[in-house]
Amino acid sequence: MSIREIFKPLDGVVVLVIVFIALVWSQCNRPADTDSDGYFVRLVTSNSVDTLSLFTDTVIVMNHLIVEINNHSAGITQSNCHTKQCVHTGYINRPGQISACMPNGIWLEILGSFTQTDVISY
Amino acid sequence: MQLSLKVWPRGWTPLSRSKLLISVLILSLIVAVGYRIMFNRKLVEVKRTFPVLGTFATIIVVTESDKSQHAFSKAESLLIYLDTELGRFSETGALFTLNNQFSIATETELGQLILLSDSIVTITNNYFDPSLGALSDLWGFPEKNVVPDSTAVIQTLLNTGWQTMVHINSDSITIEPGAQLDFGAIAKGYAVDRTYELLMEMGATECLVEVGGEVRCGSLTGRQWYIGVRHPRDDNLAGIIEITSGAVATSGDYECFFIENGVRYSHLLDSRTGYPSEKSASATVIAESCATADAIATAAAVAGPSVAGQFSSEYFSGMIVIIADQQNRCETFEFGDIPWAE
Repeated sequence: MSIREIFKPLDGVVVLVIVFIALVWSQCNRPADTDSDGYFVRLVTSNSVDTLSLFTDTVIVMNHLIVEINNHSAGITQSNCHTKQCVHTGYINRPGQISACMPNGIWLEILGSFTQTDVISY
Repeated sequence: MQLSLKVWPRGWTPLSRSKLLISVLILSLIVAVGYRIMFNRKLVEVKRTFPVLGTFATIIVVTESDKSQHAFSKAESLLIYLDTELGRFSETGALFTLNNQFSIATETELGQLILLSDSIVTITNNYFDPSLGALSDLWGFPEKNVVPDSTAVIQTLLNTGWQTMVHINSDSITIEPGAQLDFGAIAKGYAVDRTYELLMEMGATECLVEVGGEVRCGSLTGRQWYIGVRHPRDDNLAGIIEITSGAVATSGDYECFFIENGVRYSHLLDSRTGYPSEKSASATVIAESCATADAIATAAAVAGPSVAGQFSSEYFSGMIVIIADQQNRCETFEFGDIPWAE
């Protein structure tokens, strides 16, 4: 059986496509980030981690502070800490933004990867 | 010529077209999988945020997958070590020793930071001054805020002043008894620089380190980084800076302040008066090193735009100073080259 009998003209293209796909896959370096972009806020306390939707307005009254989700934003609106830096931070709504009350060990972070910025200088 | 079928499974025609294509596919996959397993060169981008230095650190690093965990572990350990060594409220580090025993060796982590600080004190004409620890204590920053009486402010100012309180020698650094150094305006930037350099030395191809809003980034690939600049008076960004490498640091009166009788008192203390400066709402500096950017940003925030604009541009490439009035109306001043993203 000759080569011409084995292969048809388009078979070469198919083989090249297969080899190309295999090579691309073998070199592929960047897995996609699958976080939900800006739709959720992670609430971290000293003994729990919760993920909350930014589309549900919520008021969470904790022992020493109040967290509110309002108008697709989240923030610490009241705290018994002395500096009130967490309250001064205001509402956050961009993926990667953080609001924290260090004295009370509470931390809010907007989840997601698609954002105009890598980080924010503040 | 038909080959013998004895050595092939039933139904297999040795050189049939479909069998060959399947063989090529399987062979390609085996080669690809083998390549990845043998060389394990998979690069991953990992982003982590964790509390450190009384604030949060965010690190984005692109490195080989099997190295990322070790890189983050080393970075976190370094930040904790620097917090202990340079932190104002640590009771075991080098700064604690210096503030209580008045002397340290020059060839130490703190010694190097003091040498760097000395040069920035000079170029900012003392608007950046790490000798204001006693004054900061008097005002109760960060946690016991109180407006002191003017006599106490004047008295405390006697224990401040970089040139008079700090003495730098070739092998040792001493301070006057009563002086309290506080590197809060540069230590985060310094820690960012050290962490960034560590991660790049460990083989990162792209890296961004941010601690408390002070940022250093770079890459071997020419990646563009987008750094948002916080607006001092609302939830929006003042803008987005686009850089391939370098540092961006911001200092503002919104970070640590208290309000008494309707007056806002920020932690941006002016060494000339002993009182919080009201000359700007925030200042952002773009420079090669984050420590430099951090310190100059504080100096610019204290000095205000008219004076900050006179700082030698040898040490930074761009500066943004935003002022705000009582009604929170803002005005922005730009100096040098600001690489705003389009």
